[in-house]
Amino acid sequence: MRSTLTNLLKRRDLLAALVSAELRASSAGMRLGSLWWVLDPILMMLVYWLVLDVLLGRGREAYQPFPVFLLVGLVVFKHVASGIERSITVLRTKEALIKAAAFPTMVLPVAAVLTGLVHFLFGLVIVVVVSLFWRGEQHSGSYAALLQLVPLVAFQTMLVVGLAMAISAIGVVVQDLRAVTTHVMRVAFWLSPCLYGLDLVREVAEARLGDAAGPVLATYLALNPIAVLNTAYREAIFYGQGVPLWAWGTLAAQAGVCLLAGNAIYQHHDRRIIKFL
Amino acid sequence: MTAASSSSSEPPGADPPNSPGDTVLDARGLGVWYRAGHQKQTVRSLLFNRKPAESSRPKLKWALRDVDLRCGSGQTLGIVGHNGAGKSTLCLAIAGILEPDEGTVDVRGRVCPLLGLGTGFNKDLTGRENIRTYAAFLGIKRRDLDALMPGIIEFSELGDAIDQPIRGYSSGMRARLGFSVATAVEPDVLILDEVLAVGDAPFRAKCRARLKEMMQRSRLIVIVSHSVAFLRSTCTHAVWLDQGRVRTQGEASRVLDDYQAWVVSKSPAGEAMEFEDAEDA
Repeated sequence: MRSTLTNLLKRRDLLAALVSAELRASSAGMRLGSLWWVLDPILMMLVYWLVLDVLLGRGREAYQPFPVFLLVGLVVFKHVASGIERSITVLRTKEALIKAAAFPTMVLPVAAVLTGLVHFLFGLVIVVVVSLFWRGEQHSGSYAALLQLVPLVAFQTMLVVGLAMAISAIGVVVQDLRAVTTHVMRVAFWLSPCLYGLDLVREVAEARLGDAAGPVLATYLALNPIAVLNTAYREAIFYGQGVPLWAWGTLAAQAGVCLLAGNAIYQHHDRRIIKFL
Repeated sequence: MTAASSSSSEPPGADPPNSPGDTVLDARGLGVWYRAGHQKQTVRSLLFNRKPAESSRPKLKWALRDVDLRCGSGQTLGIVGHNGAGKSTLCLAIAGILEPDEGTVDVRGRVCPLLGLGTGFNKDLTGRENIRTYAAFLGIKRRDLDALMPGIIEFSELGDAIDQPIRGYSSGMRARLGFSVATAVEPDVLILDEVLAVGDAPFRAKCRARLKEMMQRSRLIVIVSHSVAFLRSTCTHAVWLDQGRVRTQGEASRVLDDYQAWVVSKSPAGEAMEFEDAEDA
């Protein structure tokens, strides 16, 4: 891990140049620039709100205003999902450069995540602004809770960087990883509480499986890092509350494990990557 | 350059005029393998078929094996050999792009590999923006690039097109841009792998002039070319690779004579090499 950080610090110019180039390229020829990145979750938010709340009347009182509740979950999920999707092909798309210049190739997945982070921060600002103007009765009224966004974003970045390093290296060796990941992310979307809260899962599980099974199921769901992230972001933005300690602990452990494991997997494949390209 | 794994003995005259302290490139027992005819894994094979049958396992093919090279300051090393002999792999190993699977490569100083010029340019970005990214890949610091930028743009002869997206550039324009960035910094070790056919005739002449200047200033130049005439006119030393192993190495004229004689004996087409124009290399 230490050598990874040293390599990244040594090539910070390259990292900055890559992020800058990706940001420019992604907004080249688009008048709306980064706004395109948040348009997708905003459109999805409108669709889910219309279907779940307006048509089916499933928006719970605790989740009102439901569009803001949805938007928080969708923006967080999009950052994680896009980081994973980009990392699958990031090494293959830069194959020619990998074979023409000597540089630590791990900057490529890291730069892809950092580029996504810039878009995510833009989206997060929009979410926070919307939540300030459209506040529900459940909101505590305290905005100090927004300060928790700083460590939350840090943990989320660690988590996505770890996943991206592992997936980018495996993506070079395993040819159908993209197809499989698309399905996995679709399942992850519905299992992650983007459209609902963990409290609803616990309630439904208790009602159907008994008092003992509910908390157990909720605990298993908390193993999904996106579920923990969504819960934490909603506490900070939507409810204006302190993120529960269990969420901090779980998130810190998941981020740490992902980063260390992702780094180990990348290091294991690193010298073979050029041979598989 | 000294021979260690060479199949022919090194004549006394071929020893570099440098003391051991001047060694720029030191490769010992260098070996690099690839998987011959390997198929990429699938998620299914990864999960359910972790140990493939012996017969279906990819076989290792040594692209380089037991290569020993030592080059001193002031040398120009030509690498010759048939396609698949390991020339480009050797360049990648010297450039630090490919890690050896066996042995070591020690290169002292800044290495500039001119391999695949302008590859990886982003078509949506302008020429100027691509210079910044490409230079960062080559390890040129941002503050150094600011000073180098005017010279790079001038040498590329792209004029106002430098601020246009390179989507509209011809392949020649992209190669010119790549060459201009890659040669903007003076390296200690310059590696050229068949990159001299860049742009139109006047620009090729300009490239050759710049390379000549760089050759005079670099401590070591490594050139891969199929043109024996060009190598003969440029190199002080040469190494002949055959199936990943050093067949012979030493003084350029002797190695190239041996190689040329071998090529002529193998194929009548080889005779044409005698008449190649070094300028077309």
